[in-house]
Amino acid sequence: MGRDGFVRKQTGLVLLTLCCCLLPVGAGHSFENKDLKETSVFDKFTGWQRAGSAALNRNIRSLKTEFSLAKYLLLFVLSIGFGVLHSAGPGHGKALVTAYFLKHKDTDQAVSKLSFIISFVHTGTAIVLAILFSTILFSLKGIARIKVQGYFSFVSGILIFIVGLWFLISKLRGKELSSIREDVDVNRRLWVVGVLAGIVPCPIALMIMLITISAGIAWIGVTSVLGISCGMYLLLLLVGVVATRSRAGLLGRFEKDIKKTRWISEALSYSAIIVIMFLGLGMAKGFFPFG
Amino acid sequence: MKQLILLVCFLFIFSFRLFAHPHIFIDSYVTFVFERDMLKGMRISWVWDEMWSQQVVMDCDKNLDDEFNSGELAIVEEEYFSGIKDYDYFMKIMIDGKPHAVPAPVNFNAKIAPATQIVTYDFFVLLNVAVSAGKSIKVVFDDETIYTAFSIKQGMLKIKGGDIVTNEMSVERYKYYGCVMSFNIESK
Repeated sequence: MGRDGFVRKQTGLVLLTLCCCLLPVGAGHSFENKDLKETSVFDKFTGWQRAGSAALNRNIRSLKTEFSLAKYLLLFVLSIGFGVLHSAGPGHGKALVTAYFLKHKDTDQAVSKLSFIISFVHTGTAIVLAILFSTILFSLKGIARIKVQGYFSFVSGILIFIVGLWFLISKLRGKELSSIREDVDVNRRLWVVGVLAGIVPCPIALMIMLITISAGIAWIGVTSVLGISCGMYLLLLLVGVVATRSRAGLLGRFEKDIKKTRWISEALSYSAIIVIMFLGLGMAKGFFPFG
Repeated sequence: MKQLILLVCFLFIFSFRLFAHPHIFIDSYVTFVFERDMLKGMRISWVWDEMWSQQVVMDCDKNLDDEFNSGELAIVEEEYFSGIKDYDYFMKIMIDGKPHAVPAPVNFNAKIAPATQIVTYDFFVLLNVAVSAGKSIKVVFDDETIYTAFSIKQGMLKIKGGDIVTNEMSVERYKYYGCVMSFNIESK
């Protein structure tokens, strides 16, 4: 493949990554003067999500009435598949991973680590919340539980905005990392971003845990939730790797022109930081609990 | 450079729209009930998805008989329905383009489908709006927090009673996961 072809491929990958994150865009348009026909890609996707959660639910119900190892393994595999499908939909985790890895150069290990932290914190908080709802917060039911999840999203949004602001201030102050501290700082950044993005409890994982705790088969719920986490991890890993590769490819286009490379790198960094801030604001606005 | 500008524009424009996707799904059936020259209201059925239904059944069907008795029904209404009052019951009503307050639904009922354990809510939204030729009626089902997705198909909409003629009702997608139903009164 020639250099131009390589560059086009990398640029295409950047846009493809964004498209994956921007699935709701198609949904933003009203189907003017047309009856609602569930034939668009978006509606099909929503239908698959629904079918996926129904399949998980049926499998859990079936395991509740009659346990078998085959069904148990099938549930785990189904959960991984559902995790991939579920996280392929619009969500702040993917957008944050994309923005974060477009922001600055990072290794595949860092991508893997951030994906892992987001995925497992996202489902881990759901397990913790399910335990709380089944014990000391037993009086909270139904819609009240959803409102609690909304508070998490609101707080997470505010914190993500603050992290974006922190990135912006650091960038404006031109804070350079020393090579000795770099690893420590990257690690710290990954944990901060990962925990803040993942802390919103996964509603599907929460529902699975509440159903299985209530049915006395919590361990089956944990298995399913772990499967979902693995699926989410795989999808986020893919998104992150594509983002880092795309960034490198885009910058590589101008490697002979250092000034231009630097300018593009800065533009990507600032854009990504502002996107992180907007994302935080979007979440906080979407789940604003005082109005 | 064009690609970079495009990329940045994409990020800016859509970063507000990336934060969530639905986790609960509702199939809605709506009957607009007319009485002479009045739109009395809407009889609505919401059929919930299996996962959420299972949660409602687990929490509310205390005697595990796949039915909600009056006591259990009160629990469903209190804990799994009334709370959405804060979101105007996921509804917006527009009469002649002007917003109409969403009243608290009445005659709430919930049932469980025996084989699938899918839960359906039935309720009535009392409107009592005088209608005349040319009046437009628009009803939106939408959860602004993007937690719930609504689905309505043409066959799920009906008009009952009254001596009115309407144009064909249309159903369109509203924002991300909502639906808007609309029709006009053509003559009485």
